[in-house]
Amino acid sequence: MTLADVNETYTDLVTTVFSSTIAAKAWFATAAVALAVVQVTTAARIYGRLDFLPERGSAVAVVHRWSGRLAFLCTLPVFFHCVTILGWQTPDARVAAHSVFGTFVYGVFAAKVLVVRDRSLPGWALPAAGLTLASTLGLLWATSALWYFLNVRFGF
Amino acid sequence: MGRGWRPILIGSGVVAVVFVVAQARPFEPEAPSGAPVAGDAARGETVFAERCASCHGEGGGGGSPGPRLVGSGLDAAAVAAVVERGRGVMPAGIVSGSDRDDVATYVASIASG
Repeated sequence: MTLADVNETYTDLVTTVFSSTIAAKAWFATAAVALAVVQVTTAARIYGRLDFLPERGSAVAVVHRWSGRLAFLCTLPVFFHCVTILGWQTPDARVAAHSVFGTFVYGVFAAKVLVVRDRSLPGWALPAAGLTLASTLGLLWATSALWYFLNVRFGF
Repeated sequence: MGRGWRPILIGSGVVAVVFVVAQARPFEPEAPSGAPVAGDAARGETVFAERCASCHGEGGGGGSPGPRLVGSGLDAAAVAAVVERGRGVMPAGIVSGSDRDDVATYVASIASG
């Protein structure tokens, strides 16, 4: 399979559901951001905040872990399209900002996963890493999917 | 160096790898090419004004989200291929048939300018 075939296969696959690869990307990114909101909310509950949510315990932790895994999966098609097909671009401020946030997001993700597993770090490190990751995702979404929905079309 | 630096170092490494891949664009499609197109540039200008200028700007001078076409160096066959297949946020088949050929010929004329 040549590189061109990979691109064509990806396009054929996503356009069976979505009207275009860009629309697919916008919705996958939106799903990832929605799951990131779940991540922040459940993390806050685990840290004893947001008392209106159910008691802290294993259920909240399970939702937190799985929302994170699903959010990561949702970003993979976006990564494929943005990084390997469109690549680094700076034609205007929005796209340049999107390129910068997109370049950093997996680095922030890797750092956050390592912070989770490192018990020797100070207590503020994990919330700081999580909020940095959620903020980066939010900025990525605002400079792409939100712009697409507002300026091109809102639909599948 | 303490263990606390490990997430930052590895995260920085990931950022560097993503940046290199983004620069390489390994799956970027090759510039489209197709059969030679013979259209009417004057008619194409009218079709362009009606169907394309809202994104690419008046006279192809650049707009949002369409890039500037003036001086882009595109030939008519490449333009026709992009119109037919779509590219980025541009949907496929925005014009077709003789309209497509006319627009492609017009865009090629401004692209070489």
